[in-house]
Amino acid sequence: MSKQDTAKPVRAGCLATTALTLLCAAPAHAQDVPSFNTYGGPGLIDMPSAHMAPDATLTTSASHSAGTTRSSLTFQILPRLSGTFRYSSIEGLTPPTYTRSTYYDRSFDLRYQIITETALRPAVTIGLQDFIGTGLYGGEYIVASKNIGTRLSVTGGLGWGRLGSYNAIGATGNRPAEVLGLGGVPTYDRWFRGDVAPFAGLSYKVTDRLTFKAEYSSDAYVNEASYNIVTHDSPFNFGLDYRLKGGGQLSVYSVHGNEFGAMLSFHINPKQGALAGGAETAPVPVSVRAKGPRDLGWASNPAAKSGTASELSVALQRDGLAYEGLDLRANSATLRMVNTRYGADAQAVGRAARVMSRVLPASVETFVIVPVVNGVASGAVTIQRSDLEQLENAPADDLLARAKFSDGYNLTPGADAGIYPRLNWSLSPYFSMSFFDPDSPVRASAGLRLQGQFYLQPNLVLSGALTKKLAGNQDKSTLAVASTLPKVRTDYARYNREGDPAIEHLTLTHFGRPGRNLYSRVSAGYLEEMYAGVSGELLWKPVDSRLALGAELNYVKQRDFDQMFGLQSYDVLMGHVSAYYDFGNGFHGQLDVGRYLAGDIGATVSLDREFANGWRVGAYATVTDVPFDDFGEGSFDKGVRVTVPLEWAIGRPSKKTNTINIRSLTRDGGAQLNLNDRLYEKVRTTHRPDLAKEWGRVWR
Amino acid sequence: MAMIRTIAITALAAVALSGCGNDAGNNDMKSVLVGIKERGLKVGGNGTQAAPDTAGMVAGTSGPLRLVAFEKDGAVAGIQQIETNGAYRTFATADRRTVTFKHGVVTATRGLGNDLMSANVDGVLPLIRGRKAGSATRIMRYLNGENTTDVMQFNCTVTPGASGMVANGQVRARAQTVTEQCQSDGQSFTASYQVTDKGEIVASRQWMSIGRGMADIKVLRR
Repeated sequence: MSKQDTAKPVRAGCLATTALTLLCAAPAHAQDVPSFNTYGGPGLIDMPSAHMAPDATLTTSASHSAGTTRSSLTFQILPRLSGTFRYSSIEGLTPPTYTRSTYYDRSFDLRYQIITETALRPAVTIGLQDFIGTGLYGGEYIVASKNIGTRLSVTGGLGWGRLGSYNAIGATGNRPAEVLGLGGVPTYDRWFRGDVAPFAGLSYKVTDRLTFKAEYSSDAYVNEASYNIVTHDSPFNFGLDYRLKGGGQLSVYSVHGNEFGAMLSFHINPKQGALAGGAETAPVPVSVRAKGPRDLGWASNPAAKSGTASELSVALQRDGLAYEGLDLRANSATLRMVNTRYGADAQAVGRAARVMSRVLPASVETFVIVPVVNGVASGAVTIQRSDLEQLENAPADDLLARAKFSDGYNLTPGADAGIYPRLNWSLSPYFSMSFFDPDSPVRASAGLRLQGQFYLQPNLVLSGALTKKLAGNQDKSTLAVASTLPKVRTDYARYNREGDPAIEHLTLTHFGRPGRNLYSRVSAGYLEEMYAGVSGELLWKPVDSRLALGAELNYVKQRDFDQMFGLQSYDVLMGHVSAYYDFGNGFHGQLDVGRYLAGDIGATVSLDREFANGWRVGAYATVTDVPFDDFGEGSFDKGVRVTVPLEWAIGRPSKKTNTINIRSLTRDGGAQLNLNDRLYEKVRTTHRPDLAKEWGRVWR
Repeated sequence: MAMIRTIAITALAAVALSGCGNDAGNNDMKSVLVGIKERGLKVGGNGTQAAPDTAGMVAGTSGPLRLVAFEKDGAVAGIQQIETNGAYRTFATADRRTVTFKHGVVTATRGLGNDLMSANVDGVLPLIRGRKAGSATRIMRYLNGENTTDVMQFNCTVTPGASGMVANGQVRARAQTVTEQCQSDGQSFTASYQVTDKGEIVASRQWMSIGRGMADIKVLRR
């Protein structure tokens, strides 16, 4: 769950997941995904179409022709809105002051379908291409597409900017040429201005797998032509798409009348997992009590009580739930447990409740189940045993309506003697990747990681991780980033180079509950790869609330490049206050305001689309008081991130998730501390809004 | 190139699976490959057995026993009753996969993949058990890939047919074939039941889910 810095390693699991995502992704409905163009969005060859992919489709694609390679990630944010992040390289494009032989560029697109297609009218979409960036691919369009029958689709539109560069039919004002700031700022002063040119095309499905495409392109490739990278002989481009078995698209095409190109794209959809409902074995069924008077003799017999607790412990263990304590009374029982297996806490609660129905004496009517988080009580779920008996074969919502959600503060038993102290450790291979180094856009290394957590108490943990590189080229990066700010993040290449072996982190962390609805954390030690110090956090989050508020204060010193015990002289007092809000419609927002690592003051806004299965796709931006000129290329920090739950990819229960964080550039402005144990994401999992989303799993 | 990368990534994924330690949260990486293998989940059997050893199953067990065979992958398993809840009876395989019935009609499965989470068959049950012609609705609920619940509502037509003898395991009974044709948006199936004059379903062919398809179920011991 930890935030990954792009220029920093993206960890092993992520890669495994990414690969598995490609291997396992269910191809269902792949036939509904429209043809994609070389920019990685729905379209013909170079030109866009008005079609949209099915909601939540996530597409990765790579295209190459005439020295130009475009890799892109496109997400269908809403049924009518999609966004694209693209990383391009153009061999031979060497603008003045640019010293490399290949030009690298990052760009973002947005497209919105203003009119949906019906039997009679076409779909109409407006798009902004490369709308925050240096504007290399900058262009806007309005395009209409119409399916005619089941095989033919025709498209026509008007383009501005790059898409208005061939045979313009008019102009709408003047289009400024200079870049705002140092790139990376919305180029709003250019949108729909300047020359406007028409484009058109069609696609025809020859068979279910093979589609023929032709287009008249309004892009003259002016820039590329001026560097002799492209000779623009013809505006007519032709292509063939081949739909792969797994739902991917392989395309070949001819462009400019003299070049050939190829493209590969893969579509996955967070809504379509490896195996709906999961492959894990069945839960134990509810044991229904016989009618009649309930014996209470056991309640005054300590031996019977402790026998019940140990029986419960063994039964829970079979379901991957760690028993920690039980407050057993004549008519009620409160269970303290740790969910070590299920991505959905609702499933853990449902399994625990059924186990309790089989083990606890018949007089116990009220079950209170507390899945502890970070060793402290968070949300507690109360289920009446009679409801469990009655509703086992009813829709899950019926039980949701009767379950009660409350704060487990002060009502949760402590952990039984003998469970703590406890050591968890593992030695495993790791794999890490970094992107966007112009000398080698993808770097990777592999090695071993020894990591462990020693729980002195349930909520007091000494945690550490040590890595040793075995192979890879991440340490070969000599990229030196010029910065006028304190170099709080831009020395990443040097950390990679010299940190072998490296102590990734070594911390002592205490989690607490200072009061109702309040959660706390204090960490000290080597907090992350580049910083050591102390960090404190306080979170307010009522169990029923979609809103949470937090505050974090850190005093940190920069670590030595070798990532051992030494420290450098740079230190900073930083922190922020945060507001978190679950909009309840699948979107989640976060606002952080405070002081960042370089001492700059500003705010981070994040918006994520969240799925009940744990998938998240989001974007964030940080603007601080660092002037764009001092920030450097990109002007301010921003990026996109994708979280993939392992459970989704493999169809078996797992709490593991992997986050890929693609940030346009790693700079020193707006840089955040990469803490492992921020409270909110863990605390919220046992609260009502999160449990309700995934409540269908309670009976799984 | 992409192929090479895929292979390389797969190899790395495999490497990431090995490792040691006592950390449950970390070791679950090991389940990745197992998970892939189990995608084509088989419930007992190897999919090729033509005639399962029902006599052996009957002799080696006690209590209510049924045989379930999945048409899609040929998996066959004996299932034993492990629990009842009112009219619902839950049967399990030896490897902890369950099927729940209400008077012989499947209302839930667990551990089969694409599980039927719950069903309301109260409309069709009296028709089937009463061997009467008629129409009724049935509701079947599933978890989708997003972890939310998909509700499928079917309109079903029940038609009684021919009678004959049914003999499976320790069950020998005269039964009438009752078919149930069900239709919803984009999905349809035809189930059939062998129903005795007492309204007991002694054998059936029922639809489980889009992923699982049809299953043949025989009562071997009541």
